[in-house]
Formats: sequence, structure tokens, C-alpha cells
Amino acid sequence: MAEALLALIPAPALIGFALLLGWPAPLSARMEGRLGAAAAGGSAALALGLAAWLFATGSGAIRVEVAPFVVTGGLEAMLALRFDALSAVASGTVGVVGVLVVLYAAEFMPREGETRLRRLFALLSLFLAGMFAVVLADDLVALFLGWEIVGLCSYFLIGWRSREAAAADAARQAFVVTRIGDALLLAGIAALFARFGTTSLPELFGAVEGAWRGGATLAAGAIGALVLAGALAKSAQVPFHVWLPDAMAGPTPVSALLHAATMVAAGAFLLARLAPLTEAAPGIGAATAWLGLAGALGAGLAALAQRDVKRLLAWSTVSQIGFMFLALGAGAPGAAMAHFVTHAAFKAALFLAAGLVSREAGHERRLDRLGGARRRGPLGFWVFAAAALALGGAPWVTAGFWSKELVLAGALGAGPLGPALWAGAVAASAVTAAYAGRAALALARGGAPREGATDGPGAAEAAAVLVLAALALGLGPAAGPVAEAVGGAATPHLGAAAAGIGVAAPLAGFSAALLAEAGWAPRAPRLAAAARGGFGVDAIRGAVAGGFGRMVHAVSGDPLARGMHALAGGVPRLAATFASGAADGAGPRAPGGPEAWRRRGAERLARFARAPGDDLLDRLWRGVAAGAAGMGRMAGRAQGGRLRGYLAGSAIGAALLLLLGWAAA
Amino acid sequence: MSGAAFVTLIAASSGLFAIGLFGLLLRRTVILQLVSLELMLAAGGFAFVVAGARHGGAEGQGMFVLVLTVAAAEAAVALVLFLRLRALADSADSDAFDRLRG
Repeated sequence: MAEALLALIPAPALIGFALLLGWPAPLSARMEGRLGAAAAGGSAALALGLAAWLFATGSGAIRVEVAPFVVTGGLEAMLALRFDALSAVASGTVGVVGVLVVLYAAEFMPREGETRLRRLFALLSLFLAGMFAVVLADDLVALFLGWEIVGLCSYFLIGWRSREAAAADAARQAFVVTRIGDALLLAGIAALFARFGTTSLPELFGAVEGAWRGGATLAAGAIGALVLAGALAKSAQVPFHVWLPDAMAGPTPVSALLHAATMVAAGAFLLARLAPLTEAAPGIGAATAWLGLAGALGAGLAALAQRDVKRLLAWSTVSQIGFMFLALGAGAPGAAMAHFVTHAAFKAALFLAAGLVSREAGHERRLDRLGGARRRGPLGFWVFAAAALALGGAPWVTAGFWSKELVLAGALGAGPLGPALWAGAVAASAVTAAYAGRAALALARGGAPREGATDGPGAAEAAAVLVLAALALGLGPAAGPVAEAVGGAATPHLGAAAAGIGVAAPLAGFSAALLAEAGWAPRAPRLAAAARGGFGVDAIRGAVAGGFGRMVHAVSGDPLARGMHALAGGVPRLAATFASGAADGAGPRAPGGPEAWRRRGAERLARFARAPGDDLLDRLWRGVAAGAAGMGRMAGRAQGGRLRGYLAGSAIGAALLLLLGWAAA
Repeated sequence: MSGAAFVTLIAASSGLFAIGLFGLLLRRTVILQLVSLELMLAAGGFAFVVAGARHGGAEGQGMFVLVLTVAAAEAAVALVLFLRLRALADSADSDAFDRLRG
């Protein structure tokens, strides 16, 4: 019974996708929205029901093998699904956020004047189905299938406004950057298969337990690094964080879904799922933790300096996922998943409320122009403020505080370097509160309501943001049990001093935001400019471009050429000295004599060597280029454009191959 | 089926295939090229049936049915393409469509 239901969880989303894509008649906009919401709702209901059953009965993990997926000689990958505490938490979160976002989108998008909504809802359904595949998979091949679906859908959805160059560029950037990670992850999966001969997770964990626990090898570290790179790219973590802020070019509901539940969280989930593997590999845990901390702190500072509300939220996602990675690296996947749940609630609420606030201000996204949101649209403003409090981790009353406390506790308990990690995380937590408070206060600022722009939220929009805000505030008590269920052990608790600092950090951050709002902001334009650029986005791009330039320079022989110049310049000078000496000794000579010949030769050599940008190496280099161009032209000639020519070529080739085969036989 | 009969029939099928191939290469009218293409497909199907009969299995005939279906679909697509090409270049000469020249 439970097994059958498990296999059905992704089905409604897939059916919704198929119907929206393939239904032969045109659908009304209302119908499209309803279909999308029904698809997401069906999957969400199944996931939540099964999660309730799992936690109520306290039964262990269940596994179902839907179908053989890839069966070749050595590889037998099943489309296997697994439902344990981790999948229950993740799929429940994905389902709830998914259905709320789709409901919101069904009302929000038509009011934005958007068309082609059928495609949008089809893609959102497929996006959700892909994410369900990721969180439920019990086989690496099945997991990778969902992983790729999610990546592809995010590409389409970020670039949904395909007529805008910025959207198309952002989509391409997101696709390329995550593709790098996907390729590395695929390499990791292939390496795992090559080593252990299976892609099934339970078998793999057993094999890893046996092979890596005793003495971890270099191969284990390499495989762990590949998997980690895949997770980092998907989750937009340092050093792959460049793609996420630009992904804001997608519509608001897409951003909400992508940030809260379906795309960037997949990386954190992957590490939580593969925790037995990454924990056994040496050094991977520490790398995960420190990279996560770098993301949490750096992206938090970047968010502090943003002027655009959606960009601020994007950087805050990088920062919050950084907290999850920190917990994962510190060996506390339970804390990471607790933060995953609360982050999904408050981040979706923030994005959806920001969409309302922005629309009420006449599609304004700059923070300094959004003042007065409270009077224009109280609902959007209060939801945003509540979710910002949760993001900043306002003590006790918000869910964000409880999950962040778990992360801090996990960091402190992470071996000898734990205190350093913990201190960094506390700083990041203060920064988080500062930028969250800054955003909320910017919206609260005075400012007259714009006339005629009061465009209040509709019923579905209001319901979606209110539910999410309630979750962002009220999920706190669930954080501990979630962490225990996923992590399998009682969560470590902080001592009084550490807990006190954990409470003080967000308070300090909020106070800093208040002070800054009151005009006591320290002026640090340079730091602000650096932070707006995202600490290193430009630096990384610049370093790559500069390094490439230097490499080209080096290869094209700049130092070499200088040496040649020196050599070539020295020879004629020497020759000239001899020549003049000889001339002095022998008196005037006829101009055509061997002396003049020698001098002319030396001069010619000097000219050749000195001619700027036209020395031997340059010529060699240009010769290579010209040769390539010439070969290209020759190959182009074969491209006659005539069908019969191509056909004759392939017929002759086939005949030659047949002859060859016959001769070989 | 005896070995000699098998070789003869396969040779006939190869001949049919060669006729189709040369028709495809030497004809310039798109419609006649399509006819040649059908000839090649028929030759392939013929070879399947012969091979199936040789081994006493039904798979050869099954494959022939598949080839037949594919050929029907291909003919539909090809005729649509032909109409579009006529509209585009106002010609039925396949050598006239050479805009992909490199």
C-alpha cells in the first residue's frame, strides 16, 4: 500500500505536465492555472500523507522499484524510490511550497500581463516532478535523471521571458555553470559505479562502509570531491555562486520556487542523501563546511549592499544554503535539513510578498523606491516583514531562529575546528539579520502611496503568502524533531554561553539595521561597492579572463620573443662594432664590398628582429592561424550544399567500409 | 530454403538497393529521388524477409512491417517537405536547394 503510494508521488506532477503540454485543444488561462495547481497539489498531498504515515507509525524506510531503468551488460539501474525521514521531510517541503507557489502564480502571472502561461505551468509541473525524483530516488541513476530535469526546467524558466536579452543570458549562464557541476557529478557517479559496480544507494553505502571506513584512499577523496562539486554548482555555492543573482530575470513565482524548494536546495539535499559517502571520504566534510561558511558570510555581505530587492533575496539564498552546507560539512545533516525546511518557508514567503509589494509600487524593485509599502499594501508588507524576521532569525518567535541554532550547534560540535566554524557562522547570522532588517525597514519607510497604483492581492495570492508566513513563523518547534528524524541522533545542545551568543547575534544584526535606518550608518562606499559586486563575482570573472589573457600571452611567446629580441638585437650590434672597427682600420672602401654586404645583412636582421609585433614567433603564430583558416576553407569547399554531393560521399564511404569489412573478414 | 536460393534472393535485393541508390544519385527531380528512396527501403525489407525465411523465423516479416510503416511516415513527411521546397525555391530540382553551401 505504502509502496504503491510512494511510486505515485511524482505521477500527478508528471500527468499535469503531459496534459498541459499535450492537450490538443486550447485551454483557458484559468484552466491552465487550475491544472498546474492540481498537479502540484496531488503530488503534495501524496507526499504529505505518506510522511504522516511514516512518522505516525514510526516504520523504517520503504523502498519500491518502479521499473528497470537502464539495463546493459554490467549496469542494472532500477528506477527505485525510497521513503525515509529524509525523503519525507524533503518531499513534503517541496510539495507544500510547490502547490502554494503554483496557486500564487495562477493569479499573479495573468495580472502581470504575462501570456504563454500554459508553457509556464507545464514547466513548473515538470520542475516539481524532477525535484520529487531527486528527493525520492534510491538509485544514483534515477537521482541524476531528476537532477537533470530540474536543471533543464530551471534553464527554461529563468529564460522564460525569452525576448529579453538579460533573461536569455541569465538562463544560459545558469545552464552552463550548473552543467559544469552536472558533468562533475556524473563523473563521480561513473567513478562510483566503476569502483563498486552498482548505482543502488543502499548497496553503495554498504560497499563504501566496508571499503572506505578503514583507511580512506585518494580515490575516495576524488569521488567525494566530484560529488561535492556537483552539489556546489547546483546550489550556487562558492565558487559557483555567480549564476544565482542573475537568475532573477525569471518571473517572481519561478524565483520563489527555484530558491525555496526545487533547484538550489537540490545540492544540499544531495549531500544529505549521500552523507554516508561524503563522510567516509577524507577532507570532503571540512571542504564542505568551509566553502559553506564562505558562502554564508560572503553572500550575506553581498546581500547587505544590494539595491534591488530580488537581488538581495538571491544573495540571501546563497548565504542560507551556505548555512546548510556548513551543517552538512560539520556532520549534522539533520540540522541542514531543518534549515532546508524553514528556509523554504520563509524564502518562498519573501519572494511572493516581494512580488506583491513590487506590483503595488508599479513594478518597482529598487529598495529605496519601495518605501511606503505598508500603506500601499499592508498584506504584502507584513508578510515580507514576518518572513524577514524569520530569515534574520529573530529569537524564539520565528522558525529561522530554531533551525539556525541547530546549525550553530552542529558547527560547534564539528571536531577541533568547530569553534572557528561556529564563530564564522555567528558572524554570518548577524549579517543575515542586518540585511533582512534593512530590507524590511526600507519597505516600511514613509513615502506617499502612489496614486492609482493600488493593486491589492487576490484571494489565491493572499492565501499563499499567508500560509507561507505562518509556516515561517510557526515551524520553529518542528525544527528539532525534523533534525532528529533525519540525523538519527539527538541534536547536540549549545551551552548557555554559546546559546546566549546565538541569540545575541541576530539581535545585534537587527539593531545594526535599525541604527543604519536611523542615519547612523557607517560610510564605507568601497566595501559597499565590493559587496554589491558580490565579492568576487567580478573578481573571479576578471581573474579567469586575465589568467587566460596571460596564458595566451605566454604561449604566443611574449617572454620568448623578448629573449629573441635581445639576442637578435645583440648580434647586429656586435656585427656593427666589428664592422666599424674593420672600417676604421682599413679606411674607406667601395660600397659594394663584403663590408657593406655584412652590414646590410646585420641591419636586415636587426629590422626583422625589431619590427614590433612582427618577429619570428609572431609570424609562426600567425602562420598557424592562417593554416587553420586555409584548412577551414578547403573543408568548406566539400560543403557544396547539394544533396546529391553529400549522398555520393556517404555512399562511397559506406562502400569503402563494406570493402574493408569484407577484406578483414 | 537452399543456400543457392538464399544467395540469389539476397543478390536480387542488393541489386534493387543499388538501382535505388543510383536513382537517388543521378536523378535531380525530388519526386523521382523519393521514388528511388522507396525502392531502397523495399530492397531492405526484401532482404529482411529473405533472411527471416532462411532462419525460419517470423522476425524478418515483422521487421518488414516496421519498415513499411516507417516508409509510409517518411513518404508523408517527404511530400510535405517537397511542397514547402516548391513554394520556397519554385523548383523541383534538388540541386537548386544549395543555400547550405559552405
